[in-house]
Amino acid sequence: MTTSENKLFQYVAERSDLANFLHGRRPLKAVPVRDLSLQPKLRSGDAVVFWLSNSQRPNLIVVPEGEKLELFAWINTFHRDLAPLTSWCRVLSSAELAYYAKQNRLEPNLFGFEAAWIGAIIADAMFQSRRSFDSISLTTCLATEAFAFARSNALYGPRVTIGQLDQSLDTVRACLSRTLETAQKRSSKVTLDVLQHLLKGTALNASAPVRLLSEICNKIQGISGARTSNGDLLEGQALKSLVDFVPLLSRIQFVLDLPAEDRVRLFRQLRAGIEGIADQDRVFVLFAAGYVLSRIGGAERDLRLAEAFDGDQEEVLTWAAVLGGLGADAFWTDAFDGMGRLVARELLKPVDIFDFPNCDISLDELMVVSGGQPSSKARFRSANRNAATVELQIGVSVQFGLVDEDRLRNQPLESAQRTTPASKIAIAEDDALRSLAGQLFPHLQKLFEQHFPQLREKKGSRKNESKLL
Amino acid sequence: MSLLWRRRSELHQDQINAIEKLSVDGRFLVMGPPGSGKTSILLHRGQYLRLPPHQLTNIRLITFSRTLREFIAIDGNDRFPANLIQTVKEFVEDVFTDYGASPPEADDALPLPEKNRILAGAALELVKAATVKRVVFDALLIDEIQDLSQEEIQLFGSLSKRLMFVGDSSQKLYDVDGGIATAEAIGCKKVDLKHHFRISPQICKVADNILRAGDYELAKYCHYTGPTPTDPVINGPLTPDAQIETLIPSLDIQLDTYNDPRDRIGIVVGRKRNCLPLLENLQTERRFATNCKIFHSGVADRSFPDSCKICIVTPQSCKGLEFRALHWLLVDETPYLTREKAYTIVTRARTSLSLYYNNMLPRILQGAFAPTAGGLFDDDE
Repeated sequence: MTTSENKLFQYVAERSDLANFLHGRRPLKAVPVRDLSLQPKLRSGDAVVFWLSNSQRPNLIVVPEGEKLELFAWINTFHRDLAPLTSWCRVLSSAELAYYAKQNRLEPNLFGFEAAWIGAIIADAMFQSRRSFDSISLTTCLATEAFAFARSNALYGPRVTIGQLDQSLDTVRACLSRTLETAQKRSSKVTLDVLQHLLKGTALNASAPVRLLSEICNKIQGISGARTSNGDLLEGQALKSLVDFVPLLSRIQFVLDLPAEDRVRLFRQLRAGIEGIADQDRVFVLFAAGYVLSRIGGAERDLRLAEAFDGDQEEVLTWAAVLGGLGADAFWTDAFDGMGRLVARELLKPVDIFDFPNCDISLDELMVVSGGQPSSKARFRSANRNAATVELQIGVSVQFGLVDEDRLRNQPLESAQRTTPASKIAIAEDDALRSLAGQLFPHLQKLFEQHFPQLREKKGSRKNESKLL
Repeated sequence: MSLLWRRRSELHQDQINAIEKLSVDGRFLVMGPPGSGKTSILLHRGQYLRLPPHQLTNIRLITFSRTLREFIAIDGNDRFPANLIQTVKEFVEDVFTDYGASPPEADDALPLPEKNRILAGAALELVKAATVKRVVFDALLIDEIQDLSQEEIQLFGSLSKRLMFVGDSSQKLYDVDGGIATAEAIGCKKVDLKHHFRISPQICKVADNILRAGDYELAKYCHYTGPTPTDPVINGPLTPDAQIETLIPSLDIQLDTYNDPRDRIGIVVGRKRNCLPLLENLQTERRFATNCKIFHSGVADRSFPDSCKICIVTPQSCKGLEFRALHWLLVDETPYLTREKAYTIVTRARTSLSLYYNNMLPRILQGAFAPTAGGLFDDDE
């Protein structure tokens, strides 16, 4: 078997040999792979190691089902120089290999809803960073829950629910002892649920509001801007079903016929009217507000108007960004000041299981090394000084902001930098404080002596009385 | 509020022709309706002449007012150097400096165009009398020709063989004559622009009802793109205070509606003395405390900072400007209201136009607005 004219070899290694292979010694008896799906049944403790012919190091390790965690534990206990293993080599179980054997290169696909998903990601980044779309960074976008969810759906289809993804993200936060606690939890998941429901082949159960809103989104996607023979906008007709639920939304179907200023007036009416809306209908009003917002001045510039919705700001903002992307012909244009295409580039990057990973650690390895809770053992070097990239699924990585320990220590001395690498994470809180105090003490002492020389003299004269200074 | 096209694809072929296809050495008179891109054509023509292969460096772009000069400089800076843009008055004063002479004392009571005419006449005599020309320009590009005098046009003609004038006789604000005819007399070839791109169809209809240039109708050649326009409205009769009370909520909505960084809202008041009280009134509202600014000839700083979203202008100082939404207050107190002046003011608006009057709307405007829907008789539904 070859990938891009590059021959693939494999070798079934016992645990005693595995460390040697991971250190770069290639077995003489490695055999070319003819069919990835035809793999020998592995004994417990064995692993299949794969190399591409042009690779110095293994590209993939496959272990028997249920033994991945044990492998990580073994590496992190006996071969720490190779850990985190998942930062440089992919590890799969034999069942996972069977899935990837069918298509070792995954091509992400969001079935025409790319622009809408990108809108959700950018709205999430805007909300988390409290910045407008023209000043957020790509890194912020890639660190969002929406990005992880979109990427997972693009690569694997609607298999993981947003609730399940949340659990994974919480686990990562729990394991990394120094993540920034600025990420705000979503008050509602309806937007992402709807986007997932729109994907082909979804088999997940959806609530009635999600089904209704998905149906509307689907119609808008297909008929954006089109009119009936009577000249009515089809988009307005698609929204008509909302009016049956909430009379407050009676004008929503005529938005595109309203002058721009009247759209803002309608938006404000929705804001004023939401207070008296029953909880179960609130989701429709927020959707409608997002829709109106997306139709004020090109769907982008006015997103800040969502701030008027206080606690529901994120939902309105996300709907506006999502609905602004429905019906978009191309998602690689300069939407969101060009950020849209950068997000698209990352979102739709293909994954080849024989490519080396681009994360700092995988979620399962992180759980093993940390024991599932903040731990000083969960130490690893991250590519970025202030962030760790954790792979939740193959190809689905999320960045987590980390406390900048150097800054925390107020620019430590050079010697301290040498002993404490910048991006080593997860130093126990007490250690950090002790280290900081130790470095600050000489400076504080010097300043004190400069400003209060008389006390120094007194101290000298009474040095036998107190040693506190 | 942007004068400059960033991409060739944004231009109409007529505009490209006026910039690039006209002979480099010729003299031209480009006439076109509001929003046809005349000022932008001047800017691009200037840069076209400056770039290789022509590389004509000693070029000036000349505007009528300083407000317009500042306005052009906002976007023109990276396409055409701002320091090559002058007002007519500055340009003529430079001629005196170049020839080591003092300009004649002008009576301050005279209106600006008359003072400019006298100055230009004296400068023209100076240039004609000189045995050796001290300055010759590679090209002069002049805006708002309809408000320039015969003397000014002749002066420009004596200082450069390459001329481009742009203007629109319907937008004439001052009582000066002869500019357009003189330009043709000194050999300027006339180029007509018909298509325009700035003004909504609804506002075009109002402008067409105020003033027509022969068979030409703005509404027929409208290529407006932008936010869905609001129908032009008349508010009145309202006392001045009531006008401001009506204006404020409208501005509040418009700031949320038109928030492209380049969008500005204009408020036209008839006289300079109305500007400051209006500004003070608006600034009592928190939302307008820092984003309003006055633009007229009595104000020293007429730059357009990004923070300025609401521009308070007079009929004279709004010349050449454009606003996403325009409010014309105290319409019936606008001095010397002519059809040309009314036409010029309403065509500053791109998407939204509101008029406010105290006692009675002037007839030329009353006939321009369609009445709002309603029954013919009291008991009609």
